[in-house]
Amino acid sequence: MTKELYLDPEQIRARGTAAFNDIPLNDYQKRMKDILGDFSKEDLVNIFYDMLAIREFETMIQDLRLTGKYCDIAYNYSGPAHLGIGQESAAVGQAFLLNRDDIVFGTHRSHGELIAKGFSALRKLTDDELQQIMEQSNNGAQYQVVKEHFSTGIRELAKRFYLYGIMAEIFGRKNGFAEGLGNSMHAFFIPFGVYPNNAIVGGSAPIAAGAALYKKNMKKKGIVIANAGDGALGCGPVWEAMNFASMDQFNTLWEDSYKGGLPVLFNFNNNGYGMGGQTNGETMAYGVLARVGAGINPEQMHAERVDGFNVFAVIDAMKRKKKLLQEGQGPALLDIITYRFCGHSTSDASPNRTQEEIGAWEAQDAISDYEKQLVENKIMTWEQTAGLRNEIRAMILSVFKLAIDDTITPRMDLLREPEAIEKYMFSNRHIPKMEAGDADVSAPKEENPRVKRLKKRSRDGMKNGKKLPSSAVIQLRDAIFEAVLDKFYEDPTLVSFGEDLRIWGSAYGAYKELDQSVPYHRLFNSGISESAIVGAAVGYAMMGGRALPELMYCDFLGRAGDEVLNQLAKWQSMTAGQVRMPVVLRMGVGAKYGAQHSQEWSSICAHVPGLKIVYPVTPYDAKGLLNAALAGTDPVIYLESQSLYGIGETFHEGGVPEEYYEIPIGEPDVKKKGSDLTILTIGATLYKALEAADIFEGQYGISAEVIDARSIVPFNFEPVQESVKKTGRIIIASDACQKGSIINDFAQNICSSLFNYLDAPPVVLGARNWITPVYELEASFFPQADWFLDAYHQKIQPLPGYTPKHSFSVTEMNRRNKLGV
Amino acid sequence: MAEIVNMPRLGLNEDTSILGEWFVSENDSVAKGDALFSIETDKSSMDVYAETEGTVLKCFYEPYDVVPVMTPVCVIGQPGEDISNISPAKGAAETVEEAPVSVPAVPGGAGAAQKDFAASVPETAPQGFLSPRARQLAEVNGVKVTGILPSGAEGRIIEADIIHAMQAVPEKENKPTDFGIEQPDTGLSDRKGSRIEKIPTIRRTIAKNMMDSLRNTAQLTNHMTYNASSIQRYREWLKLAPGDEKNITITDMILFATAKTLAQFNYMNAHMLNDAEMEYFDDVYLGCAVDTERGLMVPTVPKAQTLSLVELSRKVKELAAKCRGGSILPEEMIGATFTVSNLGGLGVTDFTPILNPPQIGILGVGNIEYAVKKTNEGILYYPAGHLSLTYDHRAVDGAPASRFLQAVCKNLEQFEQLI
Repeated sequence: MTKELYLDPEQIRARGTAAFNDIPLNDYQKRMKDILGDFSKEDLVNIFYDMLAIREFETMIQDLRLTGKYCDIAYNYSGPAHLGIGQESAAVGQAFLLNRDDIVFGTHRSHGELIAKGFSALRKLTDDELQQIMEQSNNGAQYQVVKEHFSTGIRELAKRFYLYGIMAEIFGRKNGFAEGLGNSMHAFFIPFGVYPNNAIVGGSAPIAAGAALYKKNMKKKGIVIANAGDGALGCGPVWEAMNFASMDQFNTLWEDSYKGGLPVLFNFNNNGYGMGGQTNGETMAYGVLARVGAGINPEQMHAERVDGFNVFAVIDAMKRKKKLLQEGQGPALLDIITYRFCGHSTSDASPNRTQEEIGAWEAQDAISDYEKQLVENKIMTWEQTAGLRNEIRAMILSVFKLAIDDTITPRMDLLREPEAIEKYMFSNRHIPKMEAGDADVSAPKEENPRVKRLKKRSRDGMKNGKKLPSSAVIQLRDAIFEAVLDKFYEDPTLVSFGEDLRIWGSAYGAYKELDQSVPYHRLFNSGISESAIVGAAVGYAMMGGRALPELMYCDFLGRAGDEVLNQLAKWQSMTAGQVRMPVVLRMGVGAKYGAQHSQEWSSICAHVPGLKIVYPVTPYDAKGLLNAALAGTDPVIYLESQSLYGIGETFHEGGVPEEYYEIPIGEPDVKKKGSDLTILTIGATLYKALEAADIFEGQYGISAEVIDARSIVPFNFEPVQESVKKTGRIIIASDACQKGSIINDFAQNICSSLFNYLDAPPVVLGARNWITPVYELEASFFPQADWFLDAYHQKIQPLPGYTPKHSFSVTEMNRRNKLGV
Repeated sequence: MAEIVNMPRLGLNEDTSILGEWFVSENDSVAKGDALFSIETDKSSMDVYAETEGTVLKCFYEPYDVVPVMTPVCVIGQPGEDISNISPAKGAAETVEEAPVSVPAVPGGAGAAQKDFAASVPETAPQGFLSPRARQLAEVNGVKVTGILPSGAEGRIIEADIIHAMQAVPEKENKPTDFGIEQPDTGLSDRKGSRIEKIPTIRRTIAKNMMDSLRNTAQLTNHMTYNASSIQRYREWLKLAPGDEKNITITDMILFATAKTLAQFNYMNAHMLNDAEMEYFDDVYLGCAVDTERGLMVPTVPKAQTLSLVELSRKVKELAAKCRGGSILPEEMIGATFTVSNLGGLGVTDFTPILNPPQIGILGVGNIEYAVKKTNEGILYYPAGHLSLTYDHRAVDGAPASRFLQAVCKNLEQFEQLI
């Protein structure tokens, strides 16, 4: 996608071999006696302490699930319990060197990483920093409780504070770090560099890649770690993320000060099982997990296998990988051998494993082994280690008692505070620049050749009541270009990536010549990796940046399904508002290209709480809504009709303003006034509705009011209700397949709010429940002007002398439903 | 066994009647023939009597409530009897009168009128449905939806149909309370020496009927005089008679002449039932307007054309007495085919009486004044009786109506021949 890179046939067709480097397997073999000079006694005890704390914490959860009590205290915990008993050394080894600038993303099985990273981070913080963090966390909610119940020094208090916040979170209580909205599989504590764990296997990988992009682009300290299990290598998004983090362009095309791969470590805690599936020998084929690094880049992602049961081996590996990442040689991959003694969850009786196998691993339990080494090396005595075990159990028990106490640690009271969750669904902030400072651009805005060219165009699509030719006006694609360009000059954090964005200029040239103003590291082409595109945007935003990813066609949404529906939509609320998600996801709604390139899937997005959705279809609306979306802090699905890129502005007087303006998301717009019939449209159907309105008016004297929804979520029904109160009739139309379409939802809302005003049932007009046929047959698939008349004639009021072409009868509706079409 | 006392149907066109006053209370014992309550309807008032003895177990209404006809007003039975299965008509309050809700919203509940429009309905949709919007509009404006042709899809009556109905027939359904009560603020209400009184029900009923008549008919009035010397002479002669004949009045004679003339002019002895149908009657049921303290009442003399002058006179006096005494029966007030109203006794010469639809004529009788006219024999000084015929131009044209009026005059001028 760039002329700078020459695809040389001589070189590519030349005979030769590709060489691979040997992959180190468990290269590090040192034990405690070998490294006594490198670690303080305190460090060695702390490592033991942290492993014990994780083991005890998870034992508590296991006991609760299996016996209904912990240390004889009954508590009914019915939430998830994906435990990593046996994997503690891997977690503690990873966290040992990390500080709060280094961030980790976890999995559904990450209590260990959560505790290890937190304890590691808090040891590196000053008393004042700790004090401040505790006071600020949920406005001191956890701090108040531990301060009242424990009279230890601040560092011990901080451990209890941390365990309390995690426990309250796991038990779904308001004093949890996410007010109980995250729970076991999504726990986090950002001040200690613990970013949200992810209950979707492999879900953290693309997000971590995006977080690493932020670290790199914004020149922030620290590295990013994507924790995953070996099972996650069966997930496409993980591969996409590893490729995204490794792209050649970081070295070939990005500006000098931005050279190098992304500072992200893909850390696979390889316990041999993806839930029940045995990755080695059954469900995967890599033989050695570390081998996959060689499939990603020539550096083989610096991959190696490390003995996770040896905490010093993990610390050693982390030390080396961290250095590589800091030097811009990322990404890296670690295959950390470990084993979980427990099942996938407490409901897993391990039918797929023999007791012999479990017993063999338990015999090598890292904690027992470490304890023996501590004694052997005279760091601690057996009495001392036993004492430490008791001390940790007492600490966890005391925190547990607080965390299950309904008075001290209540749940959200949704009757008293009905908006307790609702208020976190959207952050609704208006922040034009996510960070202060100047934006990195390559030339003054006025020098952009497209900006110069647009100066000569008419900003209004109409002149003297006549439509100007497309070539003479600011088109919808230009409106998008202007909004994006303005934001690139304003917000230094803004990045935009997707397929064919740079040089090619995005679908149908919306971005054409944007590359003349915006440097590579802010505007680049990604691989054909929709999961990585959206996932990286999520991670980038989670860190505090603003991202503008693009999926060329709405149809590709399925490829980014998890990233849009589970990640983008949910992180604001799953963190109780502690992260914001300023991501505008542009998606083209195609036409002419048949079944897999012509679908309008806003309804799929609308079904999932947490996404704002807009679909402007005029240049004025396109710019105003994109400006609003790009100034907000919520994820916005921004739909563009590919058949409308060339249109000028014919509704807004004066056309598209050159200067900045915003159109509030959620406000429909009356495009044509009328008194007898309301037509509400979503998307490009507006133009068919206007055609229909002309016929209604010209031939039947029926004055139609045409309202363009513009937004889908949120949506202010009041202007529509005003109109329907007046007309008593409404047709709601969109190009989306009618089954499950949001227009049914709209109709239901109108019905339920205005039943007594209706002169006929709201009529819903969607596309047929078929595949989108070829372009030549599209008129039979998407609602056309005559469909409006047909529907009106049959559902609202027969038109004199009119013969409908399409049946809207109940019989026909029933027939279609019976056939499921 | 409890006896339900229903509101009787007093007039052909009445769906409701107004309860006047109660003569009994709940738990009173009543004997057969005891007055229970009075009814005020169009132009009459009557008492309803117990037809059984027992205890008044339940009175469903308060005085001046509007009660749908043929529905329970009270229950007479034995104390302790279970009457829980007896209930008044639904929604039977005064508002019902003002905003009738007679919406055949369910299939099958629709009358013949609904079947009529089946042909115009596309598809095989069930009929008789009313859109919520149309229902609202009909309710607010008191439009009866029975018989309205639906223009909506699936056989649905829609807003436009209600608007159409309101424009086409802005009749009794159209805000009956708009007249007589809700006058614009005159700014005079603070002025001393005035008072505001509630309009009695009978007055309101009269008002409503008058407005309905003016709204719904094409009525106009022709005036004519006749030489009254003939009837005056005959009257003088009757005064000498020994029996009831001596009580015969000029009015009786005019009624007599009118009845006889109507027998010859069948087209005036008629009802206009609707836009499409007339009903012509063989017998003359002559309505006679009677002034009472309570207001105007119009008892009916059945088969008036068959009565002798004295019979007619007796009958009229009997009915008038009943009206003034409040004991007139509803069946004595219904079914008039033509009405005569006399203001002559009050010195009125000419007036424009208002029709009682569906009747198509009403004769206003003015006084007799001496007049002068030029004849072939020279100047004639004679008693001129004044007659005013109001007729419904929809039913009859001016010439035939005038011919009828001429005939009445002629019969009065040749009264002895008529006898």
